[in-house]
Amino acid sequence: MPRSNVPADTGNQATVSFAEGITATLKVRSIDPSEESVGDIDVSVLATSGEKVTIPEDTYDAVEYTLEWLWDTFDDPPVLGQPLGLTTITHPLRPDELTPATRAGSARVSAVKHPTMRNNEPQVGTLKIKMDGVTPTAYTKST
Amino acid sequence: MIIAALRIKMLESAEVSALIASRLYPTVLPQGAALPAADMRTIANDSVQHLDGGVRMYRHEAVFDCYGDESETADAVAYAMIGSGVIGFKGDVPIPGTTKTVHIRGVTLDDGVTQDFEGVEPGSERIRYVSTFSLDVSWAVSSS
Repeated sequence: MPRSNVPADTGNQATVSFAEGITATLKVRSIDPSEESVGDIDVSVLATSGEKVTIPEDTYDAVEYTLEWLWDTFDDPPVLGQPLGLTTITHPLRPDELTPATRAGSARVSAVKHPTMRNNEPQVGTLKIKMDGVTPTAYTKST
Repeated sequence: MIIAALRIKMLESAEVSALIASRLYPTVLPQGAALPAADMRTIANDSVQHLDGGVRMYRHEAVFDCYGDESETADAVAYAMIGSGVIGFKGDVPIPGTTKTVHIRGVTLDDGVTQDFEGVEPGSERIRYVSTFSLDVSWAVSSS
């Protein structure tokens, strides 16, 4: 497995694709995942002192991605609640990689913000896509 | 490229050409140039990017220095250029010397007119007045 001497890369050339719903090729400026966390179940007993003793909950909120893209008035805008099918975020392919890392799962549109109109600034839309857990989100590392 | 396009638009104004004819010079006023005159230069040219690369849309800032032997003349040139119709202009402008055009998406006044003075030549007691303003231009590369 090739390994670069450079430990990290920028987000340039990252992509997002949808199996259904959004058919336009979005000119995406940023892909920002939410922080993911799992809740705690308190299993402290009478003998416990100091820190609570906890175990993780069985379920947790799936990740929600916030996308910013350059708004194209020729495209149909995303629709709230629209199913997107298998949604794949692909990391940039680094020069010494064969396949890039990906993260994929089924998703839907959870929020849409149409662009702010301001002098000398491009129109930028904001889209939130929520993984719905039907096809669980899975990360595949690069090779 | 944008500087050349703005120059074309400004010199189309009868008021501007009555004051400076075609004496709107790129970058710097030539030594010994007749006054009133003006020069123009790019001080910023930011491109709009997305993760897959650029979209050939840019934000360009251009500075204009307007020169006159008298304070009122330098100001007159600056305000004539501002009022030439270039602000708020949208449309295709040819690039001189090529068959290509740039699509100007919007022109706004960035910094309004300020004035200073300078010696005509080093060591000379003769001064000229310089009225300065800047424009923000949003533009995109046309397809041809």
